[in-house]
Amino acid sequence: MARENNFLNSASGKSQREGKEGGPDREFYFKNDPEKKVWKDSARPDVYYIRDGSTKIYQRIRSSELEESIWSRAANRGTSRRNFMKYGIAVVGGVIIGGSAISFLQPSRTLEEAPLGAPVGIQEFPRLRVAALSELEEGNPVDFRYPLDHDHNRDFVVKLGKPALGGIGPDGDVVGFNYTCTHMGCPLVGLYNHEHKMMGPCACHFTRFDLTKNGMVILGQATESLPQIHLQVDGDDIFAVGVMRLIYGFRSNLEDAPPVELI
Amino acid sequence: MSGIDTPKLRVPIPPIGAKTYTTACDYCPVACGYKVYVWPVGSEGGPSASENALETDYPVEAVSGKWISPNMHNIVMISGRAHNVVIIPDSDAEAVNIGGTHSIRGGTLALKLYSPNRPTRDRLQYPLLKVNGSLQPISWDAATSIMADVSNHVIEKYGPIAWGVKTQSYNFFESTYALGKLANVAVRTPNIAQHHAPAWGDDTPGLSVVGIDAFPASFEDHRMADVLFIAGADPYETRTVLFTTYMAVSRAKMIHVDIRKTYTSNFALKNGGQHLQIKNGTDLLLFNSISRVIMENGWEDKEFISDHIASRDEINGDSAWRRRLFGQTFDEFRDFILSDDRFKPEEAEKGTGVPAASIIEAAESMAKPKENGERPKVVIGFEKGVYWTHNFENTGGIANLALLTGSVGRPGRAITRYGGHQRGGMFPGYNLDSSPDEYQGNKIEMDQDRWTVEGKTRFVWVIGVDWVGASAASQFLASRFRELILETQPQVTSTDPSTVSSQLKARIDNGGMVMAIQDIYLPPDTGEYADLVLPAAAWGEHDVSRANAERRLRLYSGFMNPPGEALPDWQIVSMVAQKMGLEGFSWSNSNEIFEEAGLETSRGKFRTDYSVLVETAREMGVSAHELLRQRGTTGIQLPARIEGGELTGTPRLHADLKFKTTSKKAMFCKADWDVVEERLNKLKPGPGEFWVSSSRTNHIWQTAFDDMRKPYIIQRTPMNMLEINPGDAAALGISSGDLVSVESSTVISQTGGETNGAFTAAAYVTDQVPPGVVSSHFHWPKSPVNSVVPANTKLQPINQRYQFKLGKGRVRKIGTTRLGETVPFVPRNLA
Repeated sequence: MARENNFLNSASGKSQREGKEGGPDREFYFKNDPEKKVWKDSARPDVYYIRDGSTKIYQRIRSSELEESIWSRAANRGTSRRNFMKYGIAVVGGVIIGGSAISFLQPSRTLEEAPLGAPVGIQEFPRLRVAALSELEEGNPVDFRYPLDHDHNRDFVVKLGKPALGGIGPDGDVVGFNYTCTHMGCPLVGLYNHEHKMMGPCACHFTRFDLTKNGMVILGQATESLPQIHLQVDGDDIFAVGVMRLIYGFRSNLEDAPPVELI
Repeated sequence: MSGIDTPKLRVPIPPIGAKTYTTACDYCPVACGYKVYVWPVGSEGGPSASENALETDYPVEAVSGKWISPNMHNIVMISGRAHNVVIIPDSDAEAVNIGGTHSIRGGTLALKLYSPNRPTRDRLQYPLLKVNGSLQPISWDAATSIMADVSNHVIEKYGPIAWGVKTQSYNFFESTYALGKLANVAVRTPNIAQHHAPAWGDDTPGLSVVGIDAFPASFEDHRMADVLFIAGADPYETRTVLFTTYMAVSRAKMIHVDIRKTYTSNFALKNGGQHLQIKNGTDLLLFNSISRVIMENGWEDKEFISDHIASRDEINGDSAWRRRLFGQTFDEFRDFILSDDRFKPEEAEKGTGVPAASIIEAAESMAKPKENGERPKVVIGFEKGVYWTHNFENTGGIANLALLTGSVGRPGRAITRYGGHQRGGMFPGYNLDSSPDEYQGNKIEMDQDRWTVEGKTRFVWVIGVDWVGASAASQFLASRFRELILETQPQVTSTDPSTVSSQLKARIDNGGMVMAIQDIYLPPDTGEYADLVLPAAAWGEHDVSRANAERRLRLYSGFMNPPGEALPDWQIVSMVAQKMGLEGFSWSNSNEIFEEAGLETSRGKFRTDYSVLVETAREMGVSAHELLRQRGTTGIQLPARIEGGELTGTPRLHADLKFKTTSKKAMFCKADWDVVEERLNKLKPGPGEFWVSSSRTNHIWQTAFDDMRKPYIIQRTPMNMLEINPGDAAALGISSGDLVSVESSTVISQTGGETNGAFTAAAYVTDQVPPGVVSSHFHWPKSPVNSVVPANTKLQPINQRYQFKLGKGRVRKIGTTRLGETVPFVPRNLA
């Protein structure tokens, strides 16, 4: 699974993961199906990716296979079962079901019973701490990934200094958005215009989005607003809890890529 | 009508086996290639390339052109069953939108489709008759019988000139040919005009004097040029993919000539180009001044000029009177320009507002040979900013620049209109001989608007155009419609066809008029005057063909049925014509018309000849539509030719440097600043008034007839916007989002008198417009900016056109709106 590192190294905003190296570096194989692979992320000891080796598509796996392959190896490396469960999300039949820490080991919702291809509602988005209110500097985006671990899922939270639709915090001016242009998927990293609370113009086809108006296109060719990340405040912590509008490249915001690590 | 833009959180992937069609976008003249996937609701493809019809893995990669955004998907009824429809750019396209790029207009094509539970539900579905003041469904048989009966009465009693057609020009070849055959060949009326123009005929007559076709270039030329000279057009907003895929990636210096400072202007400035921000209506002064600098320095293309410019004798021998009157040899042109000191850059600066140094720089960029002796390759492109002001003179002046710089017929060297819409006109010849209008003893196409407001049009068939808003002095025209149609007795009181015909004929004989409207939606401003409404099929509902602004002909596939009893335009024409007792209209499908039009009318046309495509298809034993379909989104650039036994297209017109004149040589056009200055003085705003201009917006197509039914689009522009400069806004106490009115009581009407006009809009305070100028969307429903535009074609007597960009009026705040809560008022033009 190739991953570019320019997101983490971007000068545009302060990354919560600064200093860590991205990208999985180890492969594990299933004993009874060598075509399927489990990838381990070297930057995050408790992150695994499970996918079909030939199609690059994340496939259904059996919990027993998980037990045999992942746990045995993970246990050897000192990773606890409890840590793995912290994602609260399991890969099931090509559908990511998330939102609680019970997904695939709960007897009431086995892998076989999980609905194939069923739409996943916004209530099932994971809850991810992305920043602290007290640490946000006006006009300086803080980057994160959400809800899936994929290049198109690069996001930021920023204090605009102006009340915004969907804004949180005492001034209603803290918003979160996805970085991937909804026209053709070019990254908007580094293109935040603080004077006008605007993202863009995109380097590819010059679309620009209004961050005070739910990411609506100001001028440009995108047929969707920039996906806004639903944020919640708990004390000083800001949590991402959902995504409004579809992220570029996906058929839904919760399918076809592995879950992001929860902090 | 507009609906709620509900974020869609999941988009189905077309499964293997989904029906797949090729088509082209319905909107701007670039006409990107698209693919349509149709399959029943209930199944969907998987996320791996082997599991779906897109043959692509999900998540889709960036810049792949494969992503289905939520607004590229819709659900429609086909044969009584719900079907998914996905319309996405053709990522395999080998022409136009190579790589599957697209604009926001084409990217939301799926939202235009008829769906009973979406805002498109108000499509016209049944013929309607106004009975006792309300439009009510009737049968096609009754509707076409009434049409035919009233038509025959008018033609017999008042002559063909009393039987009028006001139409869009660009629907599709099949539709326009059928209509043109009826109006121009069978009825032989000169009372026919197209959407914005009060008279038939040439929109770029100066270019025609010079002898250059209006659409001779390939998009590729924009990538090959050293200089792009773009006047009165905004390619980013209105020909998006031409800008993003060809202009923006070229290394050309962009010179943008426009009264407004748009994103294209700022893009040019940011990338080493120029924005020549002329004052309203002074294009010609700039063009002539650039011509002067070029000739003073001897930078003109001497080889091209000596080989390809006509002599005085050749001009005198030309068959066209406009060429004989206005054609100039190079020497005559040079003397004309150099003997007039007003064209010195320092003098032109005073009139145009463009610094002399910028004029000189532009001339140098366009014409000064490089150190190695090569000439800079220049593409000159223009549109309505140029020809909706001083139509004849401006198009002549810019064409002269093309001749001086040799910008024609060769790779990276061209002059072209950009086009307001695609090229779907296939009309047999206009009946010039029966036109009542003339210029200096020469017949010109008649002013239909004037004829109509004078009460001389007795029946008019309005097709695909909202006539009121499209005409200058809109509200005066509407007032005459009211008097002639609604207030002249009798009105229809019955649904019985023979009674209806009698009542309508009686109204006509009382000096009134009857109007039939044929459209996909009832046009907001003109609809209330209709006696009859005929529901037409739309894009995607039948197989039809059309060319883009590089003359690329494609088949636009039908993939769903029209709603209700709506029918293709050609079929409605066919039914009415046959009921009128006319022969030659009994086509059974659109391919029959396509083939007939190709052999009868397209043959020999300089720009749109596809006769050999039809002949080749017949040799192959397939229909011409089928042969065109096989060429997918690539299509064929017209004129189609046979070369080496193969059907082939024509990338560039004038490649042989032969021109559309009798001598096949080009000539300069006498573009007279005296005439323009006099006209400008008549039109200029008085104290307290603004110039009222108009413009187009990236996400809005034409009158917003589709966009007002696309929730994602229209939420951004829920009403007409009036751009006003920050200084003017402050002086008038206007902020973005305020409700403002524009009024004038000195609008020149179609009959030459003074009338008044008024419209309201939401203010958008922006430096896109200079001080003293406001600009509205060019044709917003129920907000007719053209109501403050003069309608006197005597001001433009050579070919009777309006000066749409030169309205005037007083501006004031009349209230507020709540748009600021939801609509971005961020500057649109930041580069």
